[in-house]
Amino acid sequence: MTSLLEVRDLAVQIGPARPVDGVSFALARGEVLGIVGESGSGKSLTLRAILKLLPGIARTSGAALWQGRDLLAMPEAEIRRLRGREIGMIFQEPMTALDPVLPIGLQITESLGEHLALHGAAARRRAVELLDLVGIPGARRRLDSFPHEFSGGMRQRAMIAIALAGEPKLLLADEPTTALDVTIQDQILRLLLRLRDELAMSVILVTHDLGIVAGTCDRVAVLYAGRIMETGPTGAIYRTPGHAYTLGLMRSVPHRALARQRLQGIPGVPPDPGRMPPGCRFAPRCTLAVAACHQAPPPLRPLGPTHATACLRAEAVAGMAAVAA
Amino acid sequence: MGIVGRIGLRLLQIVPTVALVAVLMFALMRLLPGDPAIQLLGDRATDASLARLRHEMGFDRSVSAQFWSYLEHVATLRLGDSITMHVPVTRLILDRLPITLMLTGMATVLALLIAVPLAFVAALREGGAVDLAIRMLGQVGLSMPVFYLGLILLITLAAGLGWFPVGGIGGGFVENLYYLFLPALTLALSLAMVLMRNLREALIEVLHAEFVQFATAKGLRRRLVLGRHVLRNALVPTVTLLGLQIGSLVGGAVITESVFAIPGVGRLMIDSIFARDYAVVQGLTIVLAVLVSLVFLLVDTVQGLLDPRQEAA
Repeated sequence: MTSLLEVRDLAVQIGPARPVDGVSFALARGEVLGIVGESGSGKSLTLRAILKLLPGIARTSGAALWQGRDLLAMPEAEIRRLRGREIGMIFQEPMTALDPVLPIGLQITESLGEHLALHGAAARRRAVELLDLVGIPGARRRLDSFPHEFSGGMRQRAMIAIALAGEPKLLLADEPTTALDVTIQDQILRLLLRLRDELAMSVILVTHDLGIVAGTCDRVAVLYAGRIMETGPTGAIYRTPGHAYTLGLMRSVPHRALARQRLQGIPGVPPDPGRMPPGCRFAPRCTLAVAACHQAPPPLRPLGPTHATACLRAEAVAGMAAVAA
Repeated sequence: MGIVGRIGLRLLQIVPTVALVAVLMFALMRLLPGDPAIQLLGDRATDASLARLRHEMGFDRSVSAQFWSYLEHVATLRLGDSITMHVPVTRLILDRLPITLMLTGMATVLALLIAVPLAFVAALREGGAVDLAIRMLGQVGLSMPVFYLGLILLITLAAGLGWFPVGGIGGGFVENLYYLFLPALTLALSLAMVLMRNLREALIEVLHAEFVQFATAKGLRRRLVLGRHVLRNALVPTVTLLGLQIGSLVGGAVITESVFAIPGVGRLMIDSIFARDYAVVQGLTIVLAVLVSLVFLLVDTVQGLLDPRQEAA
């Protein structure tokens, strides 16, 4: 089966820094892929680089094959038609991502006009359907409301409705729940999964929250300092994490099995993107690191049919995870 | 409250504003050195004729008595007759007001036509050579006094090249568009530079806003992103500034009308101040206060339309 999207060796260079460095992953039709990492790991940059939304000072290299065609090599006019139509995107903070001075209805209908040539009353009817679809009550009345007149959760739903206007095959979701209350977070994630099923849409969900990934994603890519540390099916990674960083992340979130135990954070801070360590980028913070970890960046190696890790100490990690569980 | 209610409330608020202006104006005119009777009759007039004139004009009454009769006249909109020209002040003002309104209106439109494209070009090339050139142009334009700029335009474009009349006004609306172009441009240039700087800043800020990135991610054409999302948001602070600049536009009109010999209220104001024509100066000030208040109201209304968040506030 060919992938819907295949990212190969994606790198983003901003001045001397390389905040995204050699990221590769593939996404199948209808799949939900989680990209997990701390702030500054390059996960948002990766999403924006795929749609060529980065400012001019950022240089992107590598390839992002969308149904076989490289998005990164496309001229602006061509990728512009693809944005919103084939690949939609939602942002972390709807309060700043929605235009504050335009009614929600217009922010939907302008996409409908652009991509589906729907205008006037037909566009408004479709906009009401979209607001209904994402679960905004009284959709018809809300069409003329402005973003500041919505609650946080409703704003995020409205942003999803806007992103869905072009009927994209893939939705890029950049921390869509980070700005929301926990109960609302859950509703939005359920909504995304329902939309995936109803619209046969693929989703790339970027988050820093492993808990969100566990309940939502089919597969996970763990990103650290601009590199993929580990990638594989969500279940496999949770059962047998293959990277010391993944294990560290899992230990820093509360878990039922480890109730009443002290949470273990990861000591230290991520490296400065201008001065990356020569070996494994996580090595300076890693309690399992050996001399080899500090010498050269370890390549991704398979742990299972679809599970790969860039950790030299994967076996030790698996052993520690087994003891904890 | 609906939009009509809000506008009605704002119209009511103009009344105390104008009353305050009227009081200040009365005080300022009485504080100015100089005697209108001497102005009228010349310094060789006899004491007796001066005293008779002062009595006729009511200037021999106490200041408080003058003040009450003045307030009464203002409240009943009887602005009286000009002391020097012996015609009703209202007629004097109404004759000249249209020319000044046209001049300032043209200046505003020209200023926006200059400022918006320049600001856009500069903001889109932030930090580049074009941006730098436009900003330097702005600096030069800002630091040049209106009368000096007017004289330069007058000497080069009108007297030198003969493209425009040297002064005066034409015989109708269309002809006046031509006659007033150069004075309006004079007024517009300094206003345009202020607006341009402000709009450039606002545009740069909005260009970096996340909703612009989101609009791009939606697949909108660049022109739609810039015209609908960027410009509209950036215009909000610029409209505020434009409103605040209306006052200085009126001040600029006084100078420009003198340089270009335009018979507008600016010229009338200058002439009346020199002639100590209290009635005209007071009447004019009140009319201008009302006009400026109306412009502020207009600006606020436009702003409410541009930015729905302000309506709630």
